[in-house]
Amino acid sequence: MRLAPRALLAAGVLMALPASAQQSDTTLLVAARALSFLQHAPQGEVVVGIVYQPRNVQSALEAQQLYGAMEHGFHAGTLVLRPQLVDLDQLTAGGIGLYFLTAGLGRPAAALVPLSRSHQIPCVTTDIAQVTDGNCAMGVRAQPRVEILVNRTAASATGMAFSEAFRVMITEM
Amino acid sequence: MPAATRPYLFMLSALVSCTHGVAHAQSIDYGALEQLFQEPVTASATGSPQRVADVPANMEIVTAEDIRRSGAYDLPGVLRHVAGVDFQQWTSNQAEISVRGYDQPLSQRVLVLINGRQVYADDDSFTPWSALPVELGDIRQIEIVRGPGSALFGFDAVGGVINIITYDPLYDNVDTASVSAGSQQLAQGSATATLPLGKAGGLRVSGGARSDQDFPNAAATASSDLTGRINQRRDANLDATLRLNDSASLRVEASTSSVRENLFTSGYQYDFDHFDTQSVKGQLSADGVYGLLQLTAYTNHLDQNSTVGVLGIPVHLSDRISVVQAEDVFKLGASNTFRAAVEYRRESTNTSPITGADVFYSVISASGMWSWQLSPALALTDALRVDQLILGRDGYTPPDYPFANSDWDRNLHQPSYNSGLVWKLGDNDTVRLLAARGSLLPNLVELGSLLAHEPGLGISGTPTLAPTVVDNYEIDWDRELPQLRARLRTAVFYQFTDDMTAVTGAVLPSPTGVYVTPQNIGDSHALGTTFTLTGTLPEHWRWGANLRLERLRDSFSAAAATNADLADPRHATPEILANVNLGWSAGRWESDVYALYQSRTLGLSSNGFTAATQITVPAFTSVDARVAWQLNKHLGLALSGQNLLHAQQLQTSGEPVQRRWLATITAGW
Repeated sequence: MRLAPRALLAAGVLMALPASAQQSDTTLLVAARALSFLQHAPQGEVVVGIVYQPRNVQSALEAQQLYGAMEHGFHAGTLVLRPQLVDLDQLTAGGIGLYFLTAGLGRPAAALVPLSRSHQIPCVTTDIAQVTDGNCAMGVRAQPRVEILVNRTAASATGMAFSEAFRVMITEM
Repeated sequence: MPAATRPYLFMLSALVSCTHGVAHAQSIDYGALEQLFQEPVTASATGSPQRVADVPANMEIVTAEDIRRSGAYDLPGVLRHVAGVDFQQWTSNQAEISVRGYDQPLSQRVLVLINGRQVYADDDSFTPWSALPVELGDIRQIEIVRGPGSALFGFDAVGGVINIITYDPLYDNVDTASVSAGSQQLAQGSATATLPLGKAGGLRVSGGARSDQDFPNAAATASSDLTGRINQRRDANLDATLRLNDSASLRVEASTSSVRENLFTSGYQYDFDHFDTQSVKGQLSADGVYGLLQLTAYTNHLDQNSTVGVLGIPVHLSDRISVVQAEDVFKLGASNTFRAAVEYRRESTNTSPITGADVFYSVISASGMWSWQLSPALALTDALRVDQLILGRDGYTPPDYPFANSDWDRNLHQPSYNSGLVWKLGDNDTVRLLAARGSLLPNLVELGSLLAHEPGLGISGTPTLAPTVVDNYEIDWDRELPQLRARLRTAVFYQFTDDMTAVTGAVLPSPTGVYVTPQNIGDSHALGTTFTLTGTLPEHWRWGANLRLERLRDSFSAAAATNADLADPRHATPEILANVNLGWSAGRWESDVYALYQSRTLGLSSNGFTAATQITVPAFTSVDARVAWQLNKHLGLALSGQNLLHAQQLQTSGEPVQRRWLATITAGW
C-alpha cells in the first residue's frame, strides 16, 4: 500500500516529534554507511520498503521523512533508489531490495520476519529492541557514539553477511 | 526539497555509494570505517581493526588535518605537540622522538613503522626520521601507542609505537603538490599523485626533496663539524593496490630515500652522515570465512656512512632486513576476536670500520591475541608473543680480538605480552587497566658490527649483551564532556626498565691493549601521569592542552652513575612537559598556535669517547604557529614558524635551535 506523504503530514506527526526526527536523521545516516560492508550489497535500481504503521506517530514520522528523501528517485551512477511505503498490516515483498523498519512498531513488527527471510531481504532499523527480538538483522545508534548491533541469526536468515574487518568492530548477538 | 528530507538524502547518498559494488572486504578501508564510526580506526593496538576509543592501549591518532595545521615540514615537527611525546632537536634536520621520557640522540625506545613496515633502523636502534620515505601529503594518520607494543610488533616496541598510515590508492585519491621556502636556506618540494589502475586498482606516486643549512656553530660544544654543512634529503615512493577479486587484494609498496645530514650521535658528538634506503613490500589481504588474512613480505636496505665515525675513522654500515609475516584475524561467535600470527625475520650488518665480517640474526616469532567482549561494557584483551632469536657472526676477526666468532652463537627466547581491560562506565566514561612487557634488542652495532682498532685501544660491540626489558602498568580514564564539547584523558603509569644498555663502559683486555664495549648498566624506574584536554568551540575554534608529569629513578652501575657511560635518562627527561594549542578556521582561512613548555633538564655532551660533561638546559617555552589562506579550489598559501619566541634557544645539550619561518604554496587537483 502506498500513501502520499502529504497524508502523513496531515496527521500532524511533524508537530508531534520534531526532536526525535532530528536524532533519527543522524542514526539512519550511520545505518546506510554500515550497509556498505555487506558482502553482497544491492546494485542497480533498488526499491526501499519503508515498513510503518500509519496510526503510530513515531513510525509514521520516520516513514514520511524517508519517503520524502526518495520521492523523486535517488540517482547516482547507474543506481536509483525508490521508496515504497509498506503498511505493516499489509506487508509486501514485491520488488523490494531493502527494508527499513521504522521505530516504535513493537511486537507486531515480528510479522515482517517470515517475509524478509523467505525473500532474503535485508532489514535495518533504529529500533534496537527489534534487533534483540530478532525481527530485524541490524540496528544502529548514532548518539552519543555510533553503535551497530547485528543479530547474527536474523542476519544469516536474510542473507546478510558482513566483511570480517567490519564484524570485529561491531556488537553481535 | 523540504529541509526534513535532506538528512535522508545524505543517508541515501551513502547507501548509493555502498551499492556501487565497491567491496570493502579485502583490506581495511580506513576512510569508510572512519566515516561510519565517526572516529579514527586503527589496527596498531592489537592487530585487529578497532575504533580508537575501544583499543586496550593508550593511543592517540594524529589526523591528516592535524598534520596540515601543525605547520610542520617534517614528521618530528608534527609529533612535537602530541601529549607525552618527547622531542629533542639536535640539528635542523635531526629531531629525536620518544614516548614517556628516555629521549636521547638516536632515540631507541619507540618502534616506528610505515603501514606496518618497520622503518626503525635496528642495526643501531634508532629512527632516521629524515630518511623515512614518506611525504606528509601521503599520510592518512599517525598512530601513536604509548607503552610497549612488543606483543604485536616484536622487539624494540618498548616505549611506544608510531605507525604511519598512508592513503591506500585503492580507496583514496590524493593529488597534491607543494613548494616551501624558509629561513636557514630551507627549500622543500613535495608531490603526491594517484592514478587509477583500471577499475580494480590504484597507484600512488610521491616524492620530495629538501635542503637547508644547519644551526650555526654557536655553542661551546663539540660542534665544529656543523659549520657550513648543508642538510639534504630526497625520497620517492610507489604504492599500488590491486583488487584481485571481491575478497582479496594485493598491495605493493616500494621506496627509496637519500639523506646527507649533520647527526648528533649516541656518543654525544656531531658527525655528518649519509643515509641511503631502499625498500620493497608486498601484502596480500583477503577477507572470507577464514577471517581477515594477511600475508606480508618486505625487505629494507639501509646504507649509513659516517664521516667522523669512530676513533676518527669513517664508518660504513650496510644493513639488510627481510621479513615474512602471516596473520589471521577472525571472530568466533559473537564475543571473541582472535589474531594468530607467525613471523620470520633476518637481519645482517657488516662490521666497520674494520671490515670482512658480518653480524646477523634470525628471529622466528609466534603471537596470538584474544579479545573477549565480556559484556557490552567490558572487554578483556590479551596478547602474547614469543621471539626466538638466533645470533651469529662470520668472517674476519682481528688478531688481538677478545672474541671468537663462536661467541656469537647464541639463542635468545624472549616473551612479551599486552593485557588490557577496557570498561565503559556509561556513555561518557572509559577506564583502562593496562599491563605490558616489551623487549629492546641489543642492536647489531652493540652486538659487534662496530669494530675499530688503533694501537692500544679498540672499540667493539659485544655478543654478551642482554635485551632490555620494559614492564609498563597503567590506569587510564577517559571522560567525554559533551557540555563543553571536550574530552578529558588521563593516565597514571609506572615503567620498569630492566638491563638498560649504554653504548660504552665495559673494558676488555686484549694482547695489545683494551677494547671498549657497550654494557648493561642497570635498571630504571619511571612514574608519571598525563592529562589531555581537547575540544572545540562553536563554529570556528578548536583547542587542546596536555600535561605530563614524570620522574625517573635509576639503579645504575657505579661507572654509569658518573655519566662516563653516556647514559643519563633520569636528568635528560623533563619532569614537566606541557603543550597548549588553539586553532581557528573560517572560510578560506586557518590559523593555529602551539606552545610547548619543558622543565629544566641536564643533558650530556662529549668531546672524547668517554669524557662526558653535563650541560644544564634551562626550562623553556617555545611557540609554533601557522596561518593559511586558500586562494581557490586548487591553490593555498601558508606561512608557518617554529620556535618563534627567540632567535636562538637552548633546548638540548647540543646546538641551540633557531627560529624558523616557512612559506608554502600548495596545489591540489
